[in-house]
Amino acid sequence: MRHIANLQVKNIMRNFKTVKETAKISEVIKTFNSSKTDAVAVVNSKGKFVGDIHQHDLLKLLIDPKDISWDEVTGVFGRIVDMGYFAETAKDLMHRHELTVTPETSVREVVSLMFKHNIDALPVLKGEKIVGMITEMELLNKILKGGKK
Amino acid sequence: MIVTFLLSLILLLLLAKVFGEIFERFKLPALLGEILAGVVLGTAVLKLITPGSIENMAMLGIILLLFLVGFNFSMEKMKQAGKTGFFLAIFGFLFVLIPSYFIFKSIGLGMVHAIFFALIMGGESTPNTIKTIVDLKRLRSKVSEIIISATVIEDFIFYTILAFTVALVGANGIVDYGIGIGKIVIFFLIFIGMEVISPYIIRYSEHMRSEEAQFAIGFVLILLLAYVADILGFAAVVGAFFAGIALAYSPYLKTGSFSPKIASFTYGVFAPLFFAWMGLQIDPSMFSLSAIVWILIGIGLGAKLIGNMLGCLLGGTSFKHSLGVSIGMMTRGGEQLLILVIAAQVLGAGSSMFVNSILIPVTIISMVLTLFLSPLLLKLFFRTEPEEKEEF
Repeated sequence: MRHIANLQVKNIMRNFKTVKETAKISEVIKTFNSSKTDAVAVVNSKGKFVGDIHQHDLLKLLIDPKDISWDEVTGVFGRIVDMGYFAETAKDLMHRHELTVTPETSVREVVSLMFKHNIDALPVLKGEKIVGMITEMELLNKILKGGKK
Repeated sequence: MIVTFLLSLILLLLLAKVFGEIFERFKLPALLGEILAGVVLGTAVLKLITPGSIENMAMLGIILLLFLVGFNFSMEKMKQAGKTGFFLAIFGFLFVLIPSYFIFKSIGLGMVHAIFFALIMGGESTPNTIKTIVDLKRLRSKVSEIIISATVIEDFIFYTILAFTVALVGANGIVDYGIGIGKIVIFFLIFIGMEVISPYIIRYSEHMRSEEAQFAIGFVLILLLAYVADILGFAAVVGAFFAGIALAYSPYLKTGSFSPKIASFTYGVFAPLFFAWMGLQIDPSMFSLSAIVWILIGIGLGAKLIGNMLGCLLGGTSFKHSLGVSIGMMTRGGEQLLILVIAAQVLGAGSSMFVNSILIPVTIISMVLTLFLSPLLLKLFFRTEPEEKEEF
């Protein structure tokens, strides 16, 4: 099973879904429902990758900011408002991923990044164009199936 | 010694958190509760803890707070703020600076004092404003959009002015342009160097195997720029702010768990200690409520309001929205206290009267006044704007 680590991202990444950054949350939920993926890529009007949303980010929509420390919502000085708590569009909820991988990156490297940085999904980019998403769930499925396609 | 230090930490942190919680429950900023904890344990009431005993930890708190402000600085938001944000920051600053300069001149103080005053009273701290806006369900309004984006550009402009001011002022509050400009050039060269080199260093540290190596290296880089800033005669916090901007260029730090980890122990431990440390130093006997204090409060609040109005109008915002933004940006808070501490350190003992009798009472009274005034005025203002409906 350890041979999975030596595979390249392109060998295991599946179809992925994208939503526009202006998409309403209801549309994001519809996208999750219509696919088996646990993360969707967010693109801007030019189709450029700008971030991603993981399924568990949707839980944020149920949090009332009054139940948590206000500093967590705005920072001590009120300089960074976390719009995820008030999300209406994909842009509000998404993570801006500065860390990306390419189709040629090894699974070993991907898992190492996920493990070290506590990341559940990584966008796969060819230049500036998004060509896939590699998620924790996908990798786990691969392991559970013993590395078979 | 360690026993006394630990006991001081236990008492201060515990009381700061308890008071912070009580204030938060009463919809007041937690930092005011944290300051009160310091007042109770310090010079003013129980005299159990001396400020010097935890000064280094408090300084680390302020460094990390400013690092987080810089780290979350975004060029995208700065662009969003556009000319409205730029005019807001500049006019908010200048409109306070000019009248205060003439008042300070009449009592024998100089331009440097007026600049520090304008940096405190020309800025704002917006957590409470945003809380009010959220309560009123107007987070998507034009007014709220401008307030949120404008503070980003204001931070950049204010910390740059602060850096220049601190660099130009010698240890005795004497202005030296020759040395000052040299220091500014050296500092910004080092800052640019760090911005270029740090992504490579952090990338290399990704392959290190010792526990939390990358976190340690990132942390060292913050301290390094703070240190460089301090030995060049800037305040360490200015270095920390610019270290935040520089390190944000490293994808590993920006996406990973680095900033949440820093935020955890800053918000949980170091920031409360910093605000409590401020409280330890407050001595009510030094508090003077002279006529000049009230005049300066009036100028600080009034001139800033007019300056912001003008800034918004020049940026192309309608009169109505300009008024809403100016009311929302009245609030003073944590960031002003921070500049207060820097002013006290830079101006030195020779200006202790100015700091204790003018800056401290003006800042604290303005904080308390705007804490109640701004939400009240915002509620009145938003009466004419439609309430937002929940989409989800």
